[in-house]
Amino acid sequence: MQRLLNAAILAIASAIGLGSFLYPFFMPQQGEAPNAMAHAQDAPLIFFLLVILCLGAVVSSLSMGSLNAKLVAVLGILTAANAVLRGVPGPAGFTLVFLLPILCGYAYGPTFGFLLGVFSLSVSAFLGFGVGPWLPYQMFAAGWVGLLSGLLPGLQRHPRLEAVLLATWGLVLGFAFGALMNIWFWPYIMAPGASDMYWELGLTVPEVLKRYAGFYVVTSLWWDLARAAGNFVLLLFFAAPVLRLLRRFQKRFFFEVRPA
Amino acid sequence: MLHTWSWVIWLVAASVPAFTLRNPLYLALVLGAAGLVYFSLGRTSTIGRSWGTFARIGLFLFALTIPINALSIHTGQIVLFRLPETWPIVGGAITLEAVIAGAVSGLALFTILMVFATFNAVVDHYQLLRATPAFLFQAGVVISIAITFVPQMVLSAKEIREAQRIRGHRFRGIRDLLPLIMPLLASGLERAIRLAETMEARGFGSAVEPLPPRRAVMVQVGSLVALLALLAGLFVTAYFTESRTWGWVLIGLGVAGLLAAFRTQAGRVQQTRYRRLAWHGGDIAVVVACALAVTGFVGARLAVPEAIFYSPFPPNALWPPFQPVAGAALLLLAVPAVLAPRALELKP
Repeated sequence: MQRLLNAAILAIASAIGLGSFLYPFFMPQQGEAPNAMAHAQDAPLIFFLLVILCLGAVVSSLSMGSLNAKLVAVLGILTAANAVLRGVPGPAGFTLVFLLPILCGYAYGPTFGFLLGVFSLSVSAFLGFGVGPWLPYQMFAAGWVGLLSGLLPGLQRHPRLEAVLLATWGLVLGFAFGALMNIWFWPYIMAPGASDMYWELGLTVPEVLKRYAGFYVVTSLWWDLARAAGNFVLLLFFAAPVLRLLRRFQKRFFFEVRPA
Repeated sequence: MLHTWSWVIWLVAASVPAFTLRNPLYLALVLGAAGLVYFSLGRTSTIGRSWGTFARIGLFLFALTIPINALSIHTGQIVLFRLPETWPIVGGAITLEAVIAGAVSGLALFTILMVFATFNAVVDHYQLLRATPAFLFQAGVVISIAITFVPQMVLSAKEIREAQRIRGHRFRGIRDLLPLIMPLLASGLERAIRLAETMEARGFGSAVEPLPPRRAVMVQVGSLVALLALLAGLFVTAYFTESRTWGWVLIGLGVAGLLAAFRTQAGRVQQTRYRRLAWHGGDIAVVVACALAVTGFVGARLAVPEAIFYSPFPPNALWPPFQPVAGAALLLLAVPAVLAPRALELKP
């Protein structure tokens, strides 16, 4: 019952979060109000606050319900390990940020993956990367990386296939994360004063998407390519041994003693 | 040192205009206030080095927004030059208005980044972590554990690296990282088990009083219903413009429901503080100044919206409007630079 409710809360909050990411693509449709410009200018603040609120709701409901001392400890340590791995420079400039959220989400389930992604990003903000206006978005997106990895089919019986699956997954997520993270400043790239103008010109959702695709290819595709390729290679090499290790520890962490 | 919460209030007060404005004159005032605060207070901070990174990112985005807006928005009356119509997206008239729109958007983005950068430089991050609201108690514990263990993990990474080198291992390619990652994770997980046992032994579980199962379910159902109301409200405001009021009512109900759930969660946590941060006169002055700034700005916005909003596109004038009272209110954001006591100086 509780698990079901947690899952529902996570799903609805993720839907609102995703809506807050993607609102610039729907915004141009509603430029007909007389002071549309004013509304368009409020939107970044409103959605920023919404993302924070939803993140708070998810983290509080997930952690209050199900975190005991063991899980708090293991989440803390793995988050620390992730922060350290972020500091290990990879050969081509990419880092190991997503290795643990993907693998832990896959091995320990979506809730654990989500929390690990969220905490990893907030810790690196505290450790000197700084609290930026992108932080809530980044936390949500990193949480989804862990969450979605937990929903992959378990292929424990076929280790090779498993490594290939996870590596491909890392490749896809590398691009998806980049594309999603660019959106937080997209309303600034496309001036909102022009949004009622879009409406007059009949600029529709596919048209905006086309523009975004152009923008994405020009600006961040190359960084994301490095990240995605890095994820692919790292997961291909490391997925099997790290998963073995995580599964070995699974029984020691995920048990519960019920009073008789 | 100012109280952590007064810096959080300053961040909120400075972000409201920075996020909602596209008028370069007011934005310049907010930027100036943030700059003043940074240069008088923030440069002594150890974590303030991220300020430079934020400034670089901001300048990069600034430089990015101008050409993108100029090339993709083709309305406006002052045509600078024309590109062939057949080119996708960029083809058409390149106008001065679009260039200005790009520059203003870039300035808005830059201002937001600098407000956050200043906050990072002036706030004490460890105090900020300790100010985690009670309903996120466990999240705060996880983050504290992580931050405490990072130095140990770095140390053990170094030791593992040295040990592997002594055994003749060379770190050349990606594959060679495996003998570093595996022992690091394994020793870390062992450490986590020890830590969990220690926490149990010291009664970590009793910091949060469990709700009776029925009430726990009720809180969860309440959060779920609040989130659903929020989602429905957003949907209504976005797609049914004639019943927008109902949408806002739904959104308000959803937010209120979530806040009530947070309150219930927070009520279960018994936290005691050994050392409390005290509110000083400077804190009160800063909070009052921030409240005045936001009130003045929002009031001006409601009273004379035409003197606040700016869009370079016709029929609007190219020169942005300016309202001195609203501008003066925004300048109040610089009060911390004047009033806040300097960082603690060590007595000889």
